[in-house]
Amino acid sequence: MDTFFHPSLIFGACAALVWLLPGRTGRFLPPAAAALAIASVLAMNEGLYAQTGYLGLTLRLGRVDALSHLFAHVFAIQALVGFIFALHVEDRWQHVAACLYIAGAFGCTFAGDYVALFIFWELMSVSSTFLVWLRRMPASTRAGMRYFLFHVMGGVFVLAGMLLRYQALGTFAFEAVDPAAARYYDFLILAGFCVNAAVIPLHAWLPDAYPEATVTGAVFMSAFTTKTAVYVLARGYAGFEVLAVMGTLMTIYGVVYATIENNARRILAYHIVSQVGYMVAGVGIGTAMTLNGACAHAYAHILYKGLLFMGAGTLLYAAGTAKLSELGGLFRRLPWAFGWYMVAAVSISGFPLFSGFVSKTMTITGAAEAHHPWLALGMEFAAVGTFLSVGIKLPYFAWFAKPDPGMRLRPVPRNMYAAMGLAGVLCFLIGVQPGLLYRLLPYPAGYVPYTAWHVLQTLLLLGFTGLGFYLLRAKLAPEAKINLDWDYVYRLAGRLVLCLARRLLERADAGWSEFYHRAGLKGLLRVARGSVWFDTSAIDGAVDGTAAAMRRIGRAAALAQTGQLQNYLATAVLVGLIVFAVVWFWG
Amino acid sequence: MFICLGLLLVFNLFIRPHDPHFGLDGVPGFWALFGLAGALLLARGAKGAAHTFLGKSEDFYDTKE
Repeated sequence: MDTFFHPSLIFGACAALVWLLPGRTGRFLPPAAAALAIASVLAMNEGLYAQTGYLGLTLRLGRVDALSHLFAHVFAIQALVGFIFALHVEDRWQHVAACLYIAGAFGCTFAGDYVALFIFWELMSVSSTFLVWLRRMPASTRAGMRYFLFHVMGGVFVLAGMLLRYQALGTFAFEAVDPAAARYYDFLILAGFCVNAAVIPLHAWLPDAYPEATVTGAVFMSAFTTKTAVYVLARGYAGFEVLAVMGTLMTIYGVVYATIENNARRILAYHIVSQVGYMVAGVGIGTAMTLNGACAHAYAHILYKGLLFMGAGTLLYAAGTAKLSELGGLFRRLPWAFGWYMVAAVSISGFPLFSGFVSKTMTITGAAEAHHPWLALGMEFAAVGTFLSVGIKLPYFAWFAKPDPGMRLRPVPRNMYAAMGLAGVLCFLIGVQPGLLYRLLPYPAGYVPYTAWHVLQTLLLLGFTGLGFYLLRAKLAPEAKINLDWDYVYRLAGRLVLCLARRLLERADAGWSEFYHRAGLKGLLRVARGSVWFDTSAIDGAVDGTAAAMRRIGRAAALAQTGQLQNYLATAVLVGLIVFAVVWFWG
Repeated sequence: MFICLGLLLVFNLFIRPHDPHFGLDGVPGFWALFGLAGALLLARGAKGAAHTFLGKSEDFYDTKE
């Protein structure tokens, strides 16, 4: 069959329907949409589809090849798992945001040029911000704002890079860049991609925002943002040496922080940095084996990381906290959450029979075979840290370690367990039948994970890691503390900007008072009237629909104290659109 | 538990990597030592950093805003 039905359309339509229907019925639509998306991904063949004219350009919305197909495949499956996990949520805005977010991820995956990519890229960052805000807590409002600012910055890098690139080359086509011929605009785009891939030190938004997102939102976010970034890096920037080194550093950086972190969801967030590091390194080394490893690891990672976030989310949902220092001894009352969590934990640690084993070892072996022994060793060290913090420390201190604290637990809806079961079975299936995954890989490479030596090496490595934990378990006890990260630097920078802006404003204000004294109230009123007219008829007229729609979505997310937040967002999008239009027509 | 770890080490005497990538990784027990040392180093090092300069009280950011 030679049909291409864009999954973004399915999720876009689903978002609109969920918006219109009451929350009680609307929440059943997204899983159906995800099932349709799976069918559409399975039905599509390689080729170029959905080319459409936009502002005098050809937008290529449907590039299907082995690489985009693999990512679309796992995106569709994870969408189904995530929406089953979120089935009990009656807040329709969360479903709308998740649908638009996933529509954006599919759009990026199939985009054949930078314009289409950028549009969906921004759709992802705006809608995922709402997955943070919709938790409706003061902490998530602030974290969401920081998250959004960071992604606006990343988006501006991509936008600037692609426009400069267009000026130099006269094309928006999104193709692989030759590392030897890369110019400044390529590096700008690369920097924008690295923001979303959480490459250190641009990763601060991730451990900041994910632990503050909604229980179900974090499951979606853990799957799509960073993995879309891995996809675009694999597509455009394979073989960039800098990625190989940064990726390996990421793997270690993430586990160091995960070892000392107290909040379960933040531990997992740091492990995204670490795990995405394997993929970034694989892309950076750029051989067929490591690129395959990066893709396979992305596939496996989406499933087990979603499951880890579901396990930790279940803790948060039931107990009301995700802090290890407040949890412990919950094994008797939440055994299923523990069981499924452990399936994901052994998967991420790379135990034989589970999915991480067949994908992680591929990247590491690929690195060693490409004569990067230090990178391979660094990744093995990170594997030790992964098992130490996610495989042993987190579950030990959340479900065991001390007697049942006797806190009241909220009953966990069945659909949450069903989603965990589905993801758990998939992790196991890939682990025992790696051929299912390898068949999807974009490059020809023969890799056999189950050799006696690979299995023994892994068991030795992880077994003695366990011994290390046993010896030092008292030292690793969680503490009710937070740890400084690059986040702190950005916050200081933010304060500096605020301070400067305030000083400028004060000066402007003084000048304004002066003017006021001279021109008097009447003149001022005339100016005000003029600017109001300009605002309503010129600006709103130009981008009326967008602004109004954004405000409406924003208002739904409004919290008491954030009366102006959504206006900032609407304004930011609006300004972005205006800048884009200006550059477009005069650039 | 300890018996299992011991058994793994014994296996390691017989099962060796097909193609060691650098000298040491072919030596029996290398990966066991690597795992153990890695775990101890991480626990000691990271916790040490947390206790000296990284760790702050939970309201560290709130008091400044």
